Amino acid sequence: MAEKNPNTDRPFLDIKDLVVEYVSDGETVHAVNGVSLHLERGKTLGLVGETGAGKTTIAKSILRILPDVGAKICGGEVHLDGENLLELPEVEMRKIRGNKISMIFQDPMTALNPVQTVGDQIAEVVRLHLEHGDRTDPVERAKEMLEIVGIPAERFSEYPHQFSGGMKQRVVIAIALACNPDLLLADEPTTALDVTIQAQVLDLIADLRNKYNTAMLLITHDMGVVAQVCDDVAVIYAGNIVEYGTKRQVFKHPTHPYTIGLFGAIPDMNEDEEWLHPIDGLPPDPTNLPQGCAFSPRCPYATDECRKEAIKVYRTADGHDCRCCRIEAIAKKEG
Amino acid sequence: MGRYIIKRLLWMIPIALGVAILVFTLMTFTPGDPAQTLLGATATEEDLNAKREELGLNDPYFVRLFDYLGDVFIRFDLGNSWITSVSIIDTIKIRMPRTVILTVVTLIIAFGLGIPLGVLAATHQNKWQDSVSMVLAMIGVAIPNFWLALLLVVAFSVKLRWLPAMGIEMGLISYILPALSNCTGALANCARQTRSSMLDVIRADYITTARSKGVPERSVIYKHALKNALIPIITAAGTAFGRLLGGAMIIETIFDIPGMGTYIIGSLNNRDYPVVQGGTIFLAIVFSILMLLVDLLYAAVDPRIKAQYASSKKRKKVKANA
Amino acid sequence: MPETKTAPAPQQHKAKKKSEFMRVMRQLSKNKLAMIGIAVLIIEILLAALAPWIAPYEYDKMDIPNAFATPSAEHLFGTDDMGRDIFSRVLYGGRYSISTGILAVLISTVLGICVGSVAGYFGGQVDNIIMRLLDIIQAIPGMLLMIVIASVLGPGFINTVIALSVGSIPASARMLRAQMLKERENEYIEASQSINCSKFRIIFSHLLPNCMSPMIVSSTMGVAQTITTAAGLSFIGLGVQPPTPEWGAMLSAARQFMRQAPHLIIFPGLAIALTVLVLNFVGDGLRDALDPKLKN
Repeated sequence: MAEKNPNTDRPFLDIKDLVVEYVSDGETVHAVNGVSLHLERGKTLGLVGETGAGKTTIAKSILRILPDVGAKICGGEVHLDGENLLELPEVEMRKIRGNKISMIFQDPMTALNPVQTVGDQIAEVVRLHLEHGDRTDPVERAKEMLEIVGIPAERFSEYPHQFSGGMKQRVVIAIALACNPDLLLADEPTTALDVTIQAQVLDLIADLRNKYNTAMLLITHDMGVVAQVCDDVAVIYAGNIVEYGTKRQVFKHPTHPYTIGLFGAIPDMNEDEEWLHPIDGLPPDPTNLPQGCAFSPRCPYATDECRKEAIKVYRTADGHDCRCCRIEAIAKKEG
Repeated sequence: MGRYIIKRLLWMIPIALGVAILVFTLMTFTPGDPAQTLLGATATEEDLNAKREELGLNDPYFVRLFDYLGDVFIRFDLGNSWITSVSIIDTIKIRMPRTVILTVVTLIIAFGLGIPLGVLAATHQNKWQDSVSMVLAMIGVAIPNFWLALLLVVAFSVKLRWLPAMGIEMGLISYILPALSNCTGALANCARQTRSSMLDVIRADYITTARSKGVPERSVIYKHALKNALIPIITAAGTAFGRLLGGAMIIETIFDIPGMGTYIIGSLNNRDYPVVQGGTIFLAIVFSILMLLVDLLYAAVDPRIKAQYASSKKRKKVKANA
Repeated sequence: MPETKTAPAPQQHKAKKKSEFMRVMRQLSKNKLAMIGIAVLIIEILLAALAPWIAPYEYDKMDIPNAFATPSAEHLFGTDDMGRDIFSRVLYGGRYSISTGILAVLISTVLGICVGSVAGYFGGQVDNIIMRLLDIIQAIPGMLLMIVIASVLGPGFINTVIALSVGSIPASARMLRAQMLKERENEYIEASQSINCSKFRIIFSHLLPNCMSPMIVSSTMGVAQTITTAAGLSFIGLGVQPPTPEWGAMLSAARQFMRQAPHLIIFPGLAIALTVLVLNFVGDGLRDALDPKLKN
């Protein structure tokens, strides 16, 4: 595959300066404001942030399945395997969806079509992406996928309402992986599930990815899941990446005050703490983002400088990015 | 499922019985003397008495009611017309198909155009396609069918001479104008129902799932979304059936279609009570069967409803909420 | 304890009611179509009510030599087969058509509320019997039922109103009952029962007010529907009879001349269509205003 790639120096997935806006009732929601990401085959990037930070929007922009009404990709590039997906005609894009890139959705209860059998829903994606001359039987493949995700193939003709939440998420995973995608976008795949089921589902995804060397963009707000699954981590706040590095870098040396705050909000099992330390304040109104650093109103280290103009990204020697102009001051204090 | 259908069919017996009693009673207490109407103003008192005796009008109400119910529900005989003496069942056999054709053609036009119109409006929400469709739908609801019938006759029969103004001599072509005039209300309702139901469904997560699978937009809309949006549309179809059957009564008189409407309305004017009773009972049964079909259609479309029909315990709950 | 808790409730209820009413009005005033609808409707009602004073001619004033005149400055909508002024007749006709619609819906809604609330509140056998009776009435297609009743009662304004209202009772009763069943599940009903509210009181001061919004909407739509049906009945000769200038009756009379004088059928029909259209505007607006959730 790599030989075919015209820009071999380009990462497998390379997002540059992605900007997405929603317009509703005359107001513009700045959902994603210049996000750049990259991901290699077989690796996992965790996209961490609060609800409404723009994580799902990024994933949907990659697949170009944002809602028709109001949503607009205003700028940027999304390169997959050297191709800019944002410039592909819709017909070409359709061949990629579900085939090269597929997505696992947050809520398994609503992600499946209630009037179609689960088997059909898996077989459909296989059938849509049959190459000319490919003799794969979509139904057989769907049954195989059911077995792979741990559901007996006999349940092929059952409807979603006959399955439990965890089972439904397995079906969603089967749909996503039925065509052996190169890139998997997992949008909070375990949030809606019970804790015991969460672990099973994560293991299942990990197994299948290892088998097919699939890259994964894992969207979550759960640092525990990140620690368990990811290679790299991008922390996103108000549609911007505020910290980006390897899992080790981010977990060992959180640099951005928001990331530091996020870790402060996780209970530490080794220490006997009375209170968690939530971040003060609320995420900013995306229709009316503050000037300068979007986090400045909640940031304990903010100065006037932070509120003036957009903040540059500072990169440490080992490639750990942080969008904060007060790094040194913070490093001293947190030291 | 089978048990459910049988139960519903059995339910129709008391319903039909109730309809029979209701219509019979209404007819009995209608002012005016049928014998007088039948024989004309010149009839002598003796003739009138003989006629009353012949029709059984001299018997007490309950005797006549039970005789009638016995005829209908045990001997399956709706009796004969007082005026023509022709068997009512035989006449219905000839006339009902015409009303059915009219209603079915109307329904096909209404839903054949209404569903795509509603889908168009929903997929182009707040754009001009949406506004135009919904304005058309508003007008469609507002136009009285009998008025539209007159306008269409003036335009297409009197001025353009394209289509017949009355009768059914030209086969299906004769039904075009009647169906067009009768369809607007149902079409408009269908379009509005489709739009609102599609708007709900289009935003559902499983539609995003379908898009993420690479399903072409047309299939997303017509295969995934529309099938989920069908339940309220089928409900609209059920209501439309009743309205269309009712509307057909008036439309038939305008276009002189010898169907059930002209039969019953003509008999009302002539005080030909057995025909009114028989025709109404028959239409009520047909209507009830159609309602059952609508309910079965729900089950065919939505596996969750099918599961409810199958387990009687859950169904009771659904019925209570209905 | 319960007394102290419920004592301030009536005022609160009133205050909430008032603000709710204001909210609905505010919502409604934002809806252009609904406002157009209300304006046109008020004009129509005024024209109909004031017909004897503003109509240019008496509705029954014949002028045979001037029959079938096409619309002109003298006769805005032209004249009919007897030379009567159609504009004046349409104005007068509004009195019958609009009042038929409103009266019939008023009667059927009130009766429907009685039947529906009894069924909905008591449930069980009472509910069962009432619903089966309604089933029987509803097994007959609505229009057919109204035709039969209208024919049994004979022609005339009051009889038409009765036929129309009887035919619509089942639908409104059913609707109210469904609404009540939903409402009855709420905890505040249990609370009222626990402090020994009488059933009567629960129905009238708690359940009914909360079931009203859908009834108001469906009644507005019902008036529109009923005006069409009433015109339909007179059109086939069962409702109000000519020479009374009812819109449907005018159409019926004009039918035999539609080849020579199409304008005879245009204006009464337009009057019906316009009235129904604006009533639907208002109904839609009310629905959106009363239940913002339903709005797409």
